[in-house]
Amino acid sequence: MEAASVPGGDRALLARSPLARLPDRALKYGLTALAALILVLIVYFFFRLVGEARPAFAKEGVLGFTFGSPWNPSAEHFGALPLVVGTLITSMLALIIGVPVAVATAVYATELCPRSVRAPMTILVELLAAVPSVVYGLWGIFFLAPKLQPAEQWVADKLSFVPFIGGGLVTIPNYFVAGLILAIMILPIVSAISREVMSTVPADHKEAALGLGATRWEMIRIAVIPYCRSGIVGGAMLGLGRAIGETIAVTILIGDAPQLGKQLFGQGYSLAAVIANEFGEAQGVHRSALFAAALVLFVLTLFVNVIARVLVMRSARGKSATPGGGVARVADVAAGA
Amino acid sequence: MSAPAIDGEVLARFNVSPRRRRRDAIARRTIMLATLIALVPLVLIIYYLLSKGLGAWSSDFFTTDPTGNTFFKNSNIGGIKSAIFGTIEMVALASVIAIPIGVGVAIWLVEYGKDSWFAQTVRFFIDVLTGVPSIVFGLFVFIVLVVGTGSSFAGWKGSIALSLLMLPVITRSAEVILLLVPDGLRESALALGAPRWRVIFSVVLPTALPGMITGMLLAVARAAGETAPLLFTAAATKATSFNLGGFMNSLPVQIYNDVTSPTTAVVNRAWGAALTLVSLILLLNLVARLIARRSRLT
Amino acid sequence: MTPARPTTNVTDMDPDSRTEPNAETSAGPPRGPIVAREDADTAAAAAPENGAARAAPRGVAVELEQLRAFYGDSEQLRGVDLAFRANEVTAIIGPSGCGKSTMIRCINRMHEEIPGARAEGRVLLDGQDVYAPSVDVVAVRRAIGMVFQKPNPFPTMSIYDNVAAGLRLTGRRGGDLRAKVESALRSAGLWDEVSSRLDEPGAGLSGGQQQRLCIARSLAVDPEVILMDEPCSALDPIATLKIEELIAELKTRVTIVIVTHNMQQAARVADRTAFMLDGQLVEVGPTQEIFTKPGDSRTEEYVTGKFG
Repeated sequence: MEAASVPGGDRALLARSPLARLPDRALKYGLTALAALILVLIVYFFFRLVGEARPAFAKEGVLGFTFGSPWNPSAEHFGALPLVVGTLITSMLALIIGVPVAVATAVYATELCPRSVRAPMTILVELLAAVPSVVYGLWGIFFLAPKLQPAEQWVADKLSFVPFIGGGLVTIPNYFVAGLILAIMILPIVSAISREVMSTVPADHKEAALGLGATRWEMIRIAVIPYCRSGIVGGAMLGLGRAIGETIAVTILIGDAPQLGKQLFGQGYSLAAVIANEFGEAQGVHRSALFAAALVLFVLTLFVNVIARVLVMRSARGKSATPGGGVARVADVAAGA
Repeated sequence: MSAPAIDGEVLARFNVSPRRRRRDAIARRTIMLATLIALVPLVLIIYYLLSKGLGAWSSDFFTTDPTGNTFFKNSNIGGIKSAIFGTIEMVALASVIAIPIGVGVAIWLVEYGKDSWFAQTVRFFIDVLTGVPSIVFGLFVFIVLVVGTGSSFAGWKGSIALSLLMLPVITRSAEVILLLVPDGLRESALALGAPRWRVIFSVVLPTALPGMITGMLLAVARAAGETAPLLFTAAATKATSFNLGGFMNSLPVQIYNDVTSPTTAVVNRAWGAALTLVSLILLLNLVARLIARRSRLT
Repeated sequence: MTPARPTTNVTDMDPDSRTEPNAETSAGPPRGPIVAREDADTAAAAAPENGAARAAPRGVAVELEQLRAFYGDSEQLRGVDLAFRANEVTAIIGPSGCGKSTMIRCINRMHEEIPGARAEGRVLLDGQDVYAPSVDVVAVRRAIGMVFQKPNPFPTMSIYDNVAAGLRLTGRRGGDLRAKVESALRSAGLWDEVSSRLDEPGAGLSGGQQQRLCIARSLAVDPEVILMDEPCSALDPIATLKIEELIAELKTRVTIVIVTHNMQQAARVADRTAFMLDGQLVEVGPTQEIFTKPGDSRTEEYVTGKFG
């Protein structure tokens, strides 16, 4: 095919003037710079935090700080062990109570619930995520904790032979109530992720189980839950990450015991709570110790979240995105998924 | 295998044992029960908010500032006007900061970065940001902007902390939506000879807009409810202020301060403020979902 | 054990010979399904009142009576009457959308798992209506097994666990369980290939092996009937052949109903063939006849490839 001579054939047909290309390049480099800025910000963030925490680590040693006890600002002795343990106790409680309930709601919504009820029920569970943390604290301290106190005392008395749970007087702020509120707070996110994973179980597998003559529960047990295992665990870990970092509700409900709490129904402390309570008036080494606590908290949540993401991503790999899942996913993300 | 069976009894051989039947029934009932249990706290919270909060609501409640006279009974404790305005102002500023940056990063991730190692790294760090406890954001802003500059607390510093919180949420939700825009749309625009930036602004963004607004509103709702980032950055002040350069009150901080008060009237005010805050958040959530419904992508 | 290969081969047919001397296709204008003569016995048996089980005619494992199936308001199956003989292989053929998959899913009551779907009519298993209110659907599914179009071993289970899955539900354990698993795998012709790696995941096998694993899984619970919904459509020719050989062996133990869109396959494996069109049964009879001397013109058109 011969190239015909084009009228005005000097004009390069395919070039654009540099001016016309400017917006494109400006956009590209501008946005790339923005993305890079985020990275720089976070790295800077981490280094500043470490810098502020250094005096405290210098005083107590990194291990001495993290695993020492007690936390005694007036004596200038800063052992974070009671805080770390308190954080872990409340978070574990949140997992133990919250995850089974969340998974149950997900199973109900995807497998057992009549179709007309499904949407309203899902929205109700997600509404739990709309309640801000300070309102949970408010409700917890004025309603839940007093209401539970008699029952807690009964358990403590009946199980007085069991270490940690039994014996002693039940105080209003205590580990258990803090853990319970955390369980309620992580419900929406664990439920949402479990629901999303369960809705991707191929009908094939469910039919194979039913075809063998399995009851509905048996089908869920052998075809649905094993398939979703890593996704559910990932969701649980995201919930754990949220529970570890939760500040305000826990601060209100855990008390401020500087020692390792002796009982489940007694006061305790947590990493986030100590920062919230003491930062306002802290000076010098005390302030540095609080930064150190923040660093420990940051590293802990980082660790848990990375594992969680890997698990959720692995379970999602190979499963096609559900077109209608957009709203759910956007909402999950906003709820802190 | 198919020996002539006695009529009507062939299925009996395969019948489900009562044990299995019982287990199935018990399992299903337990699951349903657990689901109901999950909904109980919500009902109780709403009930309490309404019963205690509505009692505190009055026109004075919304139009007067808290007075700080909280130690004596019967003294006038005021309302929550400064808290409401403070929240609105600080969250608005935080949104103005976080939305362009968040959407910008999302656009970069989807349109330019795609799956490069750099983009993966950025995504990883955004995920890291999602998991950071909100109090740590407050501390960071404190280090950099309060201690670092030797100046004091200010409303805009609180906004910065809130925007750090909103950023990963907006970016991830925007990315999800942008990925849902069909490639075919982009390709047909490019095939018409439109430059990339034009394709993004005239084709991709308008299609993605409702979904992205949903994500933004949900991020705003989340920021409105956060207390911890504001504790060391904005400080609470009693008077209504429109000066973001000075101290500023906010609903969550006001509630937090009131929770520990021994005065009943103050606690009631906290409930009223809590009801106000939750109503605001629910309203934002509702609008967000309604907009999402109009999106062609979700 | 050399498998007995079905010798029916359409191209060999001598149109004048009859393999079953008293089979005659009914003459005259086709009205409703055409049924070969000896089926007339079953058709004539009186239907009892109020759904009580009636005397199962000798040799019939499953019988459909006026079976209709709906997806919401749309009627997919319009009143099918069809009998499947015990220890035989019956093939269901027809163009896509004719309702063949729907029909077999109604037999083991899987059809009703789809939201909004329902069935009417009776499905008699050895004389007992599986749709009777007193019947437990779970028992039905155990008695009537199913092999699906796409092999679907449970992905999180090993080969052993896959076969054992159905047995474990009824509480079989230990040595007893092992014996049954081995026996099922042998019957499916898979034992030699997997006996050394029973702990490996079921999903790691080739397509054909996976499908035989699914067959073993169904066999393990000793069903009366096995329904197969285009079991070979996702497999290569060699794997398909192996499964067809398997079907020929298995029919001495169970009754097999196989839906297939591949007419050569029907000709190879099936004793009897039923042709469906538009949700209705057009004709049923010995496979040879359906393919060589179909009674209905529509059957002839389909079989000779004029449509579908």
